Amino acid sequence: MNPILINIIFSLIALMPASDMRAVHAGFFHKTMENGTADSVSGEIYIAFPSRTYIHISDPIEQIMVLTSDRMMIYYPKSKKGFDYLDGSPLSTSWLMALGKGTIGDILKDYEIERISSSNRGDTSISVWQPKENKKKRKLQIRVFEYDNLLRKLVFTNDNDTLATNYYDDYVEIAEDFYFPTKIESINNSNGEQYRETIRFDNPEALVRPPAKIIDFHFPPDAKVKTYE
Amino acid sequence: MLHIILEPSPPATRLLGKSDEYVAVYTDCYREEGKKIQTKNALTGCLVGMAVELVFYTLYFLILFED
Repeated sequence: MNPILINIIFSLIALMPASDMRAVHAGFFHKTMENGTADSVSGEIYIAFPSRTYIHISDPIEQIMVLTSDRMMIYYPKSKKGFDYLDGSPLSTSWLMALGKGTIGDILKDYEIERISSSNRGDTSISVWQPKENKKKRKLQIRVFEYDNLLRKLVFTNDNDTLATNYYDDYVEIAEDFYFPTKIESINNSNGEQYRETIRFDNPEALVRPPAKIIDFHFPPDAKVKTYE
Repeated sequence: MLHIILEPSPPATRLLGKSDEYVAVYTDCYREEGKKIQTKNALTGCLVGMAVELVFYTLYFLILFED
């Protein structure tokens, strides 16, 4: 299966002057709970919108993860081992949806997911989206809940089954008209099992010019890299 | 979460903070399982297609011989 990803945004990033690119740097804490077992990692994260994420995990192991719209790279500085996934970067999607004003629709459209309806319930606007190519085969849908022009909740369903629900909370304004959620919770249901994630961002700061390493990351020449495509 | 809909690669969140050995094994298992599902779907599609074709030609010849 080919990932439904486009390179247009990737190209636009390359064309855009760095000063025009919105980026955030923050401390990063990621906690998971699966089958009663908790796990956590921490480090720092750079997110350059719309589609570039650089995570430097420091605990429990040093690991660098770089995500673009069509690629995921993982690198271990100590062992100099790397993994290069040329067929997609799932993480970037759910995180980058939490951008604030006017971006959720753009991102979904980039993944060839189209809006099929929209409505209002009180102050909350609700829109329903589904992938174009899966329209006839499966009834996968994404429900987007926005309040005050900020993304609050995403619900992923397959027919009537809820696959996952993401919550975006504790927004802070880190620059003029630029809001960032410092807490994201995700509840995933798969084969009757539940997988929970909580992501917290500490001291998020807007960057005018993201560091070069997140815009143009390369594995070191002496790294042993395994490629998946 | 969109990986459920769109992605053949393992979800990145499952690889955060894991060792390189874990990442290698997890990725291989994930992709192998994905191939099995694709193969199963292809086989199902093939069998359904054959069944439809069989019904079609059976009806076709029945109508032909009745005439």
